Amino acid sequence: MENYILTVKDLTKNFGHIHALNKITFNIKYGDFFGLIGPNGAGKSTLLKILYGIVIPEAGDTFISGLNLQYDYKKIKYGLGIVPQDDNLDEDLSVYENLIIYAMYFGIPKKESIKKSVELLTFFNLEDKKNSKVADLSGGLRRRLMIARALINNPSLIILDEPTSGLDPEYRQNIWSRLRALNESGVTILMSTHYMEEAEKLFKNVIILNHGNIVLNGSIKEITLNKKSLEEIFLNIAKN
Amino acid sequence: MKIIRKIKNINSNLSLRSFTVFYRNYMVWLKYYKPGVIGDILEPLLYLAALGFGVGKFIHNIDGISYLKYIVPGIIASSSMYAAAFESTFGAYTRMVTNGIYEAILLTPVGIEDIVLGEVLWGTAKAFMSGMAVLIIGIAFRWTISPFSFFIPVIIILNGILFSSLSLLITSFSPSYDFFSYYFTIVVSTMFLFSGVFYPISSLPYLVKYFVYIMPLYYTVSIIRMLDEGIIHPLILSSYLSVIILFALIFFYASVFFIRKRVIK
Repeated sequence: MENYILTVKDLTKNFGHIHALNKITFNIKYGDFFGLIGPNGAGKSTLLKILYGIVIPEAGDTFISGLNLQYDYKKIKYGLGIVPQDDNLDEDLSVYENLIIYAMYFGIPKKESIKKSVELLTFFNLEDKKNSKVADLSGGLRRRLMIARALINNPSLIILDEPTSGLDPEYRQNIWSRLRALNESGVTILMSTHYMEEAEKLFKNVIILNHGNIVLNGSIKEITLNKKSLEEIFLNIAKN
Repeated sequence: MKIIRKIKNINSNLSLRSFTVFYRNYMVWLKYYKPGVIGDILEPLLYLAALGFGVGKFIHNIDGISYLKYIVPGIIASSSMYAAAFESTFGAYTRMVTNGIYEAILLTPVGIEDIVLGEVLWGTAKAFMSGMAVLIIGIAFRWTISPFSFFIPVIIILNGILFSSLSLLITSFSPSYDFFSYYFTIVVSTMFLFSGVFYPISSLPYLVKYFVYIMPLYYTVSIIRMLDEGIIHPLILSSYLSVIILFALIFFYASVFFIRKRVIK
């Protein structure tokens, strides 16, 4: 467990009669760029929501940086950056205020949060939007702000639920380059996506989920070794 | 035993982080405070003026005091109730459901208990502003002159905590904004009209009078009136205070429980 930033063991979640997750087990190494793919309804978002505490599992254990999610979720959150699928930026605040208030939730001192916010606005090329209302931002800019917000606490693990969904190719490429840079700086990334091209380009390791079960788990290189593209593999799984 | 365990669990998760939730709401309020403040302050003053001067012309006194002076304590209590109720229903619902603010906050070390406490504190602050506006006008025009009146702010705060908690509990069940019509019509307006704001409840029919005793506003109005008149009955004061605190605690813990149930699946 020491080599892993995330350990998931026998994680199970049901919504009524629907088995959203069925005894899921996997690990993520420190510094990995780990992908989570699967057709709609496979259980990707449920799994991620369990990891960030919005959904409570029926059974199983989750350890993040060696801490048990069930008992230490508040401690865990200090080292976690989360970009949920649904945009939940604070519409009543400006771009800059969104970062400042988020830093406050983490208990980051004001001086430090101002410095970090300016840094993040520069990194995500949002400086000229600093005082804009969130409602005035385009979809791509909102996504960038969501990722910037998730980095305010210098997380060691960042979880992103389909962060490029619905974005045009230019914005998508833009986000990819920033995520790559983050991963190269040592941040472990766990990300779900619908786009196989994105998965092949970004992820080092991946799990494919279907009907709440892991159907494939390995490195992108291993999985595509027999010359089949990830998209072909994914379509086969979705068909079956 | 199960309830005690749940309460202990809630207590252990409460922290100073709730002030960040309060501060977030304050930051937003600062942007749009003007129309809100006018509403919160002007509306109770309109009631005071219309009923105090208008109806007061026909009612010379109640229990030996002028009608205008009689209704001041009730207007203080009811205006703080309305301010807390509006903030913790429409405002809280917008943050919880429409804008997804609770879910965004829950991605940080701030827990659901802190969110609810922060919301209660914020609703209480709104109640305090509204109640204090009436009290200050009352003191300025010498409608409230007892030295005990200086304890009225404490009761306004308790009233704010009580009605913020109750309103958050209602919000935790609400499927839409329209649902709040039931709450405001059946609960809030009923209390406003029957809790002794405008007349002594002794004038009500026997059964209705006993129905008033389950209305939390009645106790706040009674205590503020007692402090305003400067005639303190220690036993009544302490028992009424206990009722208010008990109501506030029940509503607070229930709202934490049900908001958790709604937000975390």
